[in-house]
Amino acid sequence: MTIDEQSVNRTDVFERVKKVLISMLKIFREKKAESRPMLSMETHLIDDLGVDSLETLDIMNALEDEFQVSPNLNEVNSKRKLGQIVDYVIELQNKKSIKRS
Amino acid sequence: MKRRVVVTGLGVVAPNGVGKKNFSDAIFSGKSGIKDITSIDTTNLKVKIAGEVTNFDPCDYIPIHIYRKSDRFVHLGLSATKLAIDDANISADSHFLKNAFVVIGSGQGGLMFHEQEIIKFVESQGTKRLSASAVPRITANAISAYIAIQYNICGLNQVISTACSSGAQAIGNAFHHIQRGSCDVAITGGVESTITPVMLELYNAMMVLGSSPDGDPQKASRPFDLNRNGFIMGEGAATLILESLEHALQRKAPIHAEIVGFGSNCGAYNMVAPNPTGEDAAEAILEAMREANLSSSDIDYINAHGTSTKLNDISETKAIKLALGELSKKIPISSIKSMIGHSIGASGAIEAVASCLAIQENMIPPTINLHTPDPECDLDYVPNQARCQKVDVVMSNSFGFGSNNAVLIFRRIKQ
Repeated sequence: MTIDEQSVNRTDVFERVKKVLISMLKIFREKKAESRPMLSMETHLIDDLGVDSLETLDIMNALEDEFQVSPNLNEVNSKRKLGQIVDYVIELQNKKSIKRS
Repeated sequence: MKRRVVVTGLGVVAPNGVGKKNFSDAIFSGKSGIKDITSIDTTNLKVKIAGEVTNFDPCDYIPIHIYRKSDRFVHLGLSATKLAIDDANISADSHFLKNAFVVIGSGQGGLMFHEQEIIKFVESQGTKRLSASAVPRITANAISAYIAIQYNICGLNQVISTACSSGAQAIGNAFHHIQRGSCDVAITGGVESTITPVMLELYNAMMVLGSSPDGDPQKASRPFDLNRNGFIMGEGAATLILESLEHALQRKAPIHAEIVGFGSNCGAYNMVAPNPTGEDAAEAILEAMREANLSSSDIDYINAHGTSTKLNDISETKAIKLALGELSKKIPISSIKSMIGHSIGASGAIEAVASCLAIQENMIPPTINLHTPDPECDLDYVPNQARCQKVDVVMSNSFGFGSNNAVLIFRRIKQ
């Protein structure tokens, strides 16, 4: 994969992780845009979103469903920024494709 | 000696007004908050109207991380609590909050998440993974716990669940905790969020919900009217800050009213229907009056349970007559459920706020939509227009499923 392809993939994975989080974090009644959390690669799951241990479990399960990968809870727990989650998903995707080939 | 207990903060999130000022303007001008439901899709539901809290963004009152992790009932209750704490001139870091008691009433807890998870489970025949964070959103004491978490309040922390009287039971219990010296400050009230598809249809299946005579939702809730045909579901929350009189005076808190009586009992009659004789409810009224050391002639206004069901409004009328005798014909009675519907566990607390406002404003909120008197409801229900008069003592009735009765008496503060 070229560097350009890698960055396209990272953006694509980020958008999908974002979609998972938005639906999972139950942001369904905010009327004002400013009340909705902003999500970027730098967003900190605990400091910015207040994600707790139960929600980490939910995030892990949702990533498993969205990307058909098998995340490990301890490893997910060690990722704190969205960018790190994105890179972890890519790492799992790569492992999966290596296994297949 | 029993300590005197006063109300120093009022917070309310009601279908016809959010905040004390808006709610006060609404109830005294007879403004209805019953409308077509907008928060959920009612296409396939039989119930299409409710007392829904609109023009309200919980994020204006509560931290985003709590908002995200909690059900609508916590949003409503925590917002009411913020409003009450502000109204009582308490800052979030006031040292005395640490030892306060939190006693909140809720009939149902967090329904929306519960329903969503059950639907997910059933639709996938058990194959879909359920949410790891659903249980703490569903549990009824999420509201008292989040009040504690947000304000770092470490005293007794309870949710009381006695259906439609939950809010009044919570306030009565908090009152007694302060009265006997267990705490100086209590955060108390009630909360309910029942506008969820399954819960609406479940109440409808019981044949207890009413409808509008002409399609106008605002005319649907008609307590004490001959043509009433059931209650209208409502949601909302109210929080009261209670303090010992001494504590309130010491910190120069605003004092809205004094709580002087609480009567609570169970009719041991039926899980749904009230005892048609009204005897058990009358006994609760008398118990509250004995504690307050008041007689019938002292009561200026009765804030009725007045649900708009055939059974309640007749048995409540009988109870008032039994307890107060001949004088009951002279005491104005009204039901604000005509304007906000029946918000189950919140109703007793919202009505407690209305009772304190009646004392403050010397005004009695009307029972709207009362046009055809029911011969069996033959007292003065303050039809359709608020009434200006001296209000020093208010009795507020709440009667819940399971024949659960709770009566509160508020009085203008006399120092």
